[in-house]
Amino acid sequence: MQYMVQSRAPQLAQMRKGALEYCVLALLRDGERYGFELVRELSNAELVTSEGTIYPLLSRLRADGAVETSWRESTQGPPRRYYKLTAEGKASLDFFAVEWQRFCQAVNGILAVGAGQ
Amino acid sequence: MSEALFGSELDAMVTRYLEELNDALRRLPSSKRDHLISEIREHIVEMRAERPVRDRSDMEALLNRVGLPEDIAAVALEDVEDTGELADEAGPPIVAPAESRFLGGRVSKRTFMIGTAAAAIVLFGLFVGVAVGSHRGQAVFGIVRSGSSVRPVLIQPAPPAAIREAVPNVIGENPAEAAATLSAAGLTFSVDNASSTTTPIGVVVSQNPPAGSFVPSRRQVTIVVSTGPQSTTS
Repeated sequence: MQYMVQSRAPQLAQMRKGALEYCVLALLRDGERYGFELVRELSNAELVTSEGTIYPLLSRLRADGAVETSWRESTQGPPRRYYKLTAEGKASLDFFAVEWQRFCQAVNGILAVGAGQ
Repeated sequence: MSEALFGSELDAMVTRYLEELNDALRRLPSSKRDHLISEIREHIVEMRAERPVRDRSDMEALLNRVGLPEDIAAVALEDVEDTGELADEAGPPIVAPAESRFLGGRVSKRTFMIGTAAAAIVLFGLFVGVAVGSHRGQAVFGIVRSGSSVRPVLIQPAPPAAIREAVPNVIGENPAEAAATLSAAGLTFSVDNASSTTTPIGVVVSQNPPAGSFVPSRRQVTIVVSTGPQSTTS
């Protein structure tokens, strides 16, 4: 049984990873944030355990044109790299938000049927 | 211990962590690799500013929270593999390590990625070996002579990094056998030394992750090789 649970873990990890990308975009909807702030929010929400894994994701989002970055001076410590949602990123997020709702409803519906029988 | 000395010890832990990360990211184009490492370095600076790191165990907890270098590398390489833009350069030449360096116990914390060295010591005791590994996402093999470099030969596409492998047991094997076992299982490894009163010199005492764990392909397994009963820590 333990093996079965473990063998499913990569699929869950893939789902989590797919959703995580949009959680990053959602955190940027109300304004720019710097990397550490983003990671800390996701970490506090228990969406990530290895905080460092967010940075490759941010790089990818930047390469895809969903976010853009700029350097800002910090009142304490070194300058910080701020991330900002682009129009493209915003469109992608809006699309996901609708699809995600539909997906959740559909899955919940099926899970409820299964549990009722 | 003075505070300055203590601080430098903690800084050294960060430096070592970033070196391990750099090593794990070897297949990433260097501009992306440098960018990622500087971001992780900044992240660690922010973490330390947020909550002071007082001792080694604080720093271990912090680095643990940042994540295993292999885990960060797995995400970074997966993204890059999707777009097919791995490092153009062939990377460091594949050099077969002389087996005496394993036997003599002088290889400490030395990491060999599959595809750069791993199974070159399969034919233990001979000067000729077969290197099997992964080069730019493809499985390769080559005949190597100890200390020489080899041009990889393509055989078949390597499986994606996300596939999970079962870690085989290598405790009780010599480093060459362990290298062959681990590379056959699609894993990489690093070698550490430790004294042991119960295990003969040159035999694997312990491994991490343990046998039977499921880990991503190319995950690094640390094998600890006995240096015999003499203690270096007393």
